[in-house]
Amino acid sequence: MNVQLISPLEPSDPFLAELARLESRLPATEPPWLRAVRRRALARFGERGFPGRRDEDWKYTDVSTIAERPLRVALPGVGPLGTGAAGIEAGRIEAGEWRYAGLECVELVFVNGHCVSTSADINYFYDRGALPERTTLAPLAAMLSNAPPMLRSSIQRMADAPPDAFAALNAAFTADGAYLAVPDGVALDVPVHLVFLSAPGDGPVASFPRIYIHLGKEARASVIESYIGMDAQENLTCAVTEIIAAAGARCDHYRVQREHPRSYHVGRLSVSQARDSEVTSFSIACGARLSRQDIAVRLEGEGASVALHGLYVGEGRRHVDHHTRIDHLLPHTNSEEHYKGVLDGRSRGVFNGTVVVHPDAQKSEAHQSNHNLLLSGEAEIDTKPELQIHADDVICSHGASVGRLDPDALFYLCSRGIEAPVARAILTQAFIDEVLARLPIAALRLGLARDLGSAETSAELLSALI
Amino acid sequence: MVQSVQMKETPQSVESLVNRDYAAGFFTEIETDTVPPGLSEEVIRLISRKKEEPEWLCEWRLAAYRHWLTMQEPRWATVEHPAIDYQAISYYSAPKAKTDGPKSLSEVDPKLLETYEKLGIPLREREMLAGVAVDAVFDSVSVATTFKGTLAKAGVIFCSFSEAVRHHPDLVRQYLGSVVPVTDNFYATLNSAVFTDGSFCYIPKGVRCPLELSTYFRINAAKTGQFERTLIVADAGSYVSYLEGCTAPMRDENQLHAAVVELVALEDARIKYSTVQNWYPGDENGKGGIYNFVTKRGECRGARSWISWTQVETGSAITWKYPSCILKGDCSRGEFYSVALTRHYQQADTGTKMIHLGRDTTSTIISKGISAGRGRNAYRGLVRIGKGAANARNYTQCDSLLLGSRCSAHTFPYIEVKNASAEVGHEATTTRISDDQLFYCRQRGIAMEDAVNLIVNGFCKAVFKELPMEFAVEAQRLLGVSLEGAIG
Repeated sequence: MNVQLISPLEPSDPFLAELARLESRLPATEPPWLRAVRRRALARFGERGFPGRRDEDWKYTDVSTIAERPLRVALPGVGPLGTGAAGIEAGRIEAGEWRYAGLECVELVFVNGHCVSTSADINYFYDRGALPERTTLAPLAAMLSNAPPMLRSSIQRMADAPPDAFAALNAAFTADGAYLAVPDGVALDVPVHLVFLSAPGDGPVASFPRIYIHLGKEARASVIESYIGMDAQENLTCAVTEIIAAAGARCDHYRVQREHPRSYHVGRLSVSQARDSEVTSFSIACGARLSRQDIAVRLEGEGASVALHGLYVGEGRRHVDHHTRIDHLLPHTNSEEHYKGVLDGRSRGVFNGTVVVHPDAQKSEAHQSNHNLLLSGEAEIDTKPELQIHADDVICSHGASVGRLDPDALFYLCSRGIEAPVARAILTQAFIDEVLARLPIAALRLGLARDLGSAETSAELLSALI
Repeated sequence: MVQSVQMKETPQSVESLVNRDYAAGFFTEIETDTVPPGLSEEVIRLISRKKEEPEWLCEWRLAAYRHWLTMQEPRWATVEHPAIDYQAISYYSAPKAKTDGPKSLSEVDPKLLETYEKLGIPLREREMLAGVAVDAVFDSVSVATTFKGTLAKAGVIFCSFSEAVRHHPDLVRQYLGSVVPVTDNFYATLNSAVFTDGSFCYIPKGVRCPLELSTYFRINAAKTGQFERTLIVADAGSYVSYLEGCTAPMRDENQLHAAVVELVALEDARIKYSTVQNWYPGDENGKGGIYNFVTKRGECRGARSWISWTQVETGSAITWKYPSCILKGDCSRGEFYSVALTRHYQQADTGTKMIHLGRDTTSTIISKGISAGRGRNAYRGLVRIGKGAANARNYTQCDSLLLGSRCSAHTFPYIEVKNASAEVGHEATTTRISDDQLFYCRQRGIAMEDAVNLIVNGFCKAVFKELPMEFAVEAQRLLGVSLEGAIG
């Protein structure tokens, strides 16, 4: 589509006013192209508006509660380390209650989408050697005034052809996030942990972090994104992550969403992979009132492979939605996808996994599974594993199941003197464990198991299981 | 397996058969009693008047038409076709005088006869299928009469839809549109407005229909036209097996077919509905062919009722159909078995919906898609377990077989579960015939074509075994004939 054809938004448009309010707080060094891109993205958003239930991709997820409330973008510098407005006390950031015990990592902390780690904090990791010299890790805001061409084109692409309304909003309102570039042949020894804290500002706010990860040839990196709600009320987090893996690169990406039970979370992960690259993604969603995670992977080089793992836990009135799409564009590409969900209370889970094997992608292999456990009569799951195959010499399979805890297994445990609630907890834990067991970082695995374990599971039983 | 071994064609005849033009071809002629093309309330009133229908049915049609005007063609299926001009279709034509067809079988294209030979179609039926202009075949009339007697003795009502409207208006009024409402979807609503005829079947309480209605149907098959309406009601404790269509290629002048089939199963009733569809699929360049946009739905209304759909879809340029079951009665059961084959430029978007509403309801879905050439095959299904459907069970398996590098196979299974005691499982695979399988057969001395046949028939076995026996045999042969030359 031609960018010129977009009709400008009405000057009275509240989103435009919000953008002006945001930009008045951004540094004047921001290049003019970026301001133009933001307006284009907003116009794109204006064209389609928020998705409705008639959009096939949003059939089961109603975002009207997000659409109906006024949007207030979180401004930089407002919060614990800035003007001292309502938020988290600095002490809690120092304490780092979100940290995983024993996890050695490079940490960058954000409050409502804006980086609060200083350059001194980052230099500390360089000095210790946790970050190799030629690697760039920086807050996105610091990269924008003199953006590398790849970053610039990525920002422009997301603004001009946003995959959905939320990506358009992110492109319009993002002012900060993380930038990680690992040069050819360099491997990061420790994972990069990006911590996004959601804190109440002056009422509910919306934050739009943007994460850009570029791995050069044969480079290696692990990135953990944690989204943590800190007493935040009805905040909205709308995050976009892009991973570009050059030939032979390897990236492990972990996304842990533990937002406040009353907040909203919409996230997107776009991955493009060159020849022989390997990407593994874990998406753990166990927070927020309503969350939606989109993962789109493009296997653009022969021999590229991707593995997507996911776990979603619903309780209360939570709505948790995962949409994934894997495009096999060239021959000899492989994908694995395994998602599991546990739904309790009146929660609702949505899973939609699409695998597309394009006409030239012969000798591709794709396997997908989605298993769901319903623990309560009020919980609901809507799942759709989808295969679109345009080549014949492929091996593709998918499976989906919905069920409850096996009554025989429960009976067995109870007959061995284990109380019913504990027995249920053990079986649920075992179900979840299949996903957690695949996490290669032990500290993360243990931390998550502890967070996800129910009160009935005693520490001894837990440790016996893991 | 036996069938495939029996088929011994030389490669030349295989080639020629696959590349043959559709033997009966298409032709149009001007009918004297045809309403001019176009659709309006006037046309609908005219259809209703010509069919001497009661006022309520005319109003019912008009209500459907008015709603249809507000609807849009569905766009979600993975099928592509040029826009259909609904005003260019003639919605009514009187039964044709059969003077235009070939006079005897000797005038029919030998290739078509060859196909009939392979399928083992009885001679009488060949004449009928080829559209031979015979006034009344003595044998078939007498056979039909015998069948009519048997059915009447059992109390089974089986007649054309117009006859049913005349003779059993209460039954028709009670059940028509009760499963597929007039507002259901674009094509069903169009059908509700303009349907011209179809079949009506009522099995009284406790009666096991003495015949496979298929048998009768094949002998008695009248041209039912492009907007066909079928309504089958199985009263408490009854059983009926119904077969629609025929394995032999059928001659048909209408490009758009929008049929509606409604099944109602009351307490303890069982309905088995089998379809073999082999309409003109278009030529090897994708020109022409039937658009088959059908709405089929059954409702298990009573406790322990059972509806089973079996379909073998090899014809039509585009197939768009989702035979569904609404499992309302407690302990009711729905089944769906499907083989869909697409080759050349054929497109099929088919599947089922299993809506579990009652307690202890179960459903099974077995779908086998075969794509060859540039064929496109999509399974689109929905399994919905409602809040009250305690202990519901569903098992779904949908497999795709790809023959050729330019075909495609898609799977879109929707699973919606609102009850924790449900158990739902879905499995799907997509593969091609492996070289190992072929090699194994070849080194045992089985010819390539036969080996492919063997493997494909094995792939479809779970579905074929659900067909009434004689049709299972025919369906197997049909698949073999359809696949000739697909591997190369």
